[in-house]
Amino acid sequence: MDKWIGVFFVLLSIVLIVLSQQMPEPAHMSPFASPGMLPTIIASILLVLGLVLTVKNLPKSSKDYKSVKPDWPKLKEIFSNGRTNTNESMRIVTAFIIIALYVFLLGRINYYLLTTIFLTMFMLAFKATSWYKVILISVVFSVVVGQAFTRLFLIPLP
Amino acid sequence: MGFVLFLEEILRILIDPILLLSLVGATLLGIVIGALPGLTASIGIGLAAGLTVGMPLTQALLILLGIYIGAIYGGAQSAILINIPGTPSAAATAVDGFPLAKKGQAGPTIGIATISSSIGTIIGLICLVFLTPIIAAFALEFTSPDFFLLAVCGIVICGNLTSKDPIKGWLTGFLGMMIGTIGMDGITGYPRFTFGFLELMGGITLIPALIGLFGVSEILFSMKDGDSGKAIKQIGKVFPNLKTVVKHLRTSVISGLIGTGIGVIPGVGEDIAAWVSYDVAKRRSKNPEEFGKGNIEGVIAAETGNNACIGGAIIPVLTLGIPGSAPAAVLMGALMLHGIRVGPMLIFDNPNFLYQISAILFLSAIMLVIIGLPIAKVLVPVLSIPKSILMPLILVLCVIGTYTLHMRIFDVYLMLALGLIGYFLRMYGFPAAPLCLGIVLTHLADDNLRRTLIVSEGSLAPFFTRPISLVLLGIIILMILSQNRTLMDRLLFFRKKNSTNQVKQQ
Repeated sequence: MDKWIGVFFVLLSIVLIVLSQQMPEPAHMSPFASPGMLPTIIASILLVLGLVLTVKNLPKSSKDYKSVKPDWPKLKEIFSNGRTNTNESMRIVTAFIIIALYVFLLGRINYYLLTTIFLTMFMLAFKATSWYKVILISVVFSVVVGQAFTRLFLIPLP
Repeated sequence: MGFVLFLEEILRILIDPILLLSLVGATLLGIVIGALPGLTASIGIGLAAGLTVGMPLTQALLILLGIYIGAIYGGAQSAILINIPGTPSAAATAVDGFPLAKKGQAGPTIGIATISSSIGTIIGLICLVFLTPIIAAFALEFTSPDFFLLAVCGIVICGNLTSKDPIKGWLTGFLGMMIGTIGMDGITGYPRFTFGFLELMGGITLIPALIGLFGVSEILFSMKDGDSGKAIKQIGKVFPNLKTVVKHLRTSVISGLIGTGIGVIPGVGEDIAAWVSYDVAKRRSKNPEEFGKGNIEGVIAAETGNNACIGGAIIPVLTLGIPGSAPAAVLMGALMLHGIRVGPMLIFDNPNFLYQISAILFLSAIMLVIIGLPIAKVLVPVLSIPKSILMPLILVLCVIGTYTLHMRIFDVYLMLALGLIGYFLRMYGFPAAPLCLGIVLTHLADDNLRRTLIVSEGSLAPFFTRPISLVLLGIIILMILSQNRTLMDRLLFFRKKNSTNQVKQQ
């Protein structure tokens, strides 16, 4: 995987170098005050480091090439037995989607309602505890945090 | 004179009930934050930063430093009781702490960890008081090329020490610097990489970025597996055996000095301080084979080392405007919110500031013992809360805490985006600390690079002719070359060959 991350950094740095080079030179200042100077240098360093990461992780001999070939029967077995990290990935994706929805709706829906729904959905999705406890925790936490921020710290909520 | 100012500050805090209450509350909150897996010192300070903006400086410092010290210590409680370090800095504590707890010595181990953390904080504080004026005076000699190279040197060292593969550390460090360039350029006013988003004109705000990198990524990572560890319920007597403390005082002092030393290095932080202190204690021990099976010396070394790192990590903040660790970076951001200009001039402009910080560190170290010992028994049920309940609650705090900094929803989006980046970085073995340091150091590097080139009219000579620059350049080159095994082997071979020849000649 590191090889591909290296390639990603190489591509990213090329884009960044192009964007940095497009930054205009200041009109009435020294050309060395150019805003693109540091970004160009950093992107060039990223390019070199990305290349090193890629080259370091390239297979070195024909023997290594064989070892990086996918072992299809084994992969098939893993997938059919469900021994991959699919379960883990699903948990992460679920958590991220619920969090992203909460963040996206923040400021568009009433804070107390949104936070209660978010907490309830999150805990129910991960089967944290019984549904009535989930609702109780969600309501109490939303209200306590909301009141603490607005009354105690005098900070308006989104 | 300094000692009198230090005592004055202590008295001022002790006689003011609001300040005293803030200290007690912050230390308690810090311990709980540190003990709960998923909440770290960086998140705790970040969340408190927004809330302390309107407060007087002393009260804000009490809260921020109280949380910092409490959280670094609090991680030990969960490390010992459930074998899950509450903060990354307590990972080394778990290695011997949990086996000791399983042997029925959870209470005394927590007691020893508490005293060690307190001793560590005080060692860090002593070094802070004595080293800060010396380093600050030296930092006044720094000119633009030195500051630019110092920023690069920070990234290179941090990348080298925080990752198994330094290439990955450097990549994230320079990526952080790239992220730091986003926003309106301070010299020409040109909007860099803003892509038309007005919200990006002000640049990437440090605290939301750090809450995302360390908080949201941790929440996502924690959700990978469901269950929390089971807490050890019988913890017994918590008050430590003072004979054990005295017996291992030498280990404490050595670990404290190591922790402080590592704290001074930009961006490296408490977790590395704990591991290095642990490793040194193991090497020095007469019974190294007992480490990992429940040796109290391992707990002492790790806990003294990580708390001593706090004082060390604050030194470069006060003297150079460079954080020594991730929590120190957040602390630096919080200080800036209070209008404090960190850097070499800080202690000359405001000499009391150093004694103010020292007094708070000292009182927090004492408070650790007063609160840390009795809270262990209370924390047991809290540590048993499943992650699926705890993590969404933490996320709500992260979201609201980020929003309160500038009352901008955009900061929350930024936090989420950086949280996702932080998650993927962690998944593929890229350390987050250099990224955070990169964001912090961009302005220092950018302004000083261009200032140097404008003055020298494009000549690179200033980077190679000043003694400080040459030393920094030497460190950078050495760090990079140290990755080339063949070259290092050759150099070592030459050295061996030379020494053999010398022996032969003798």
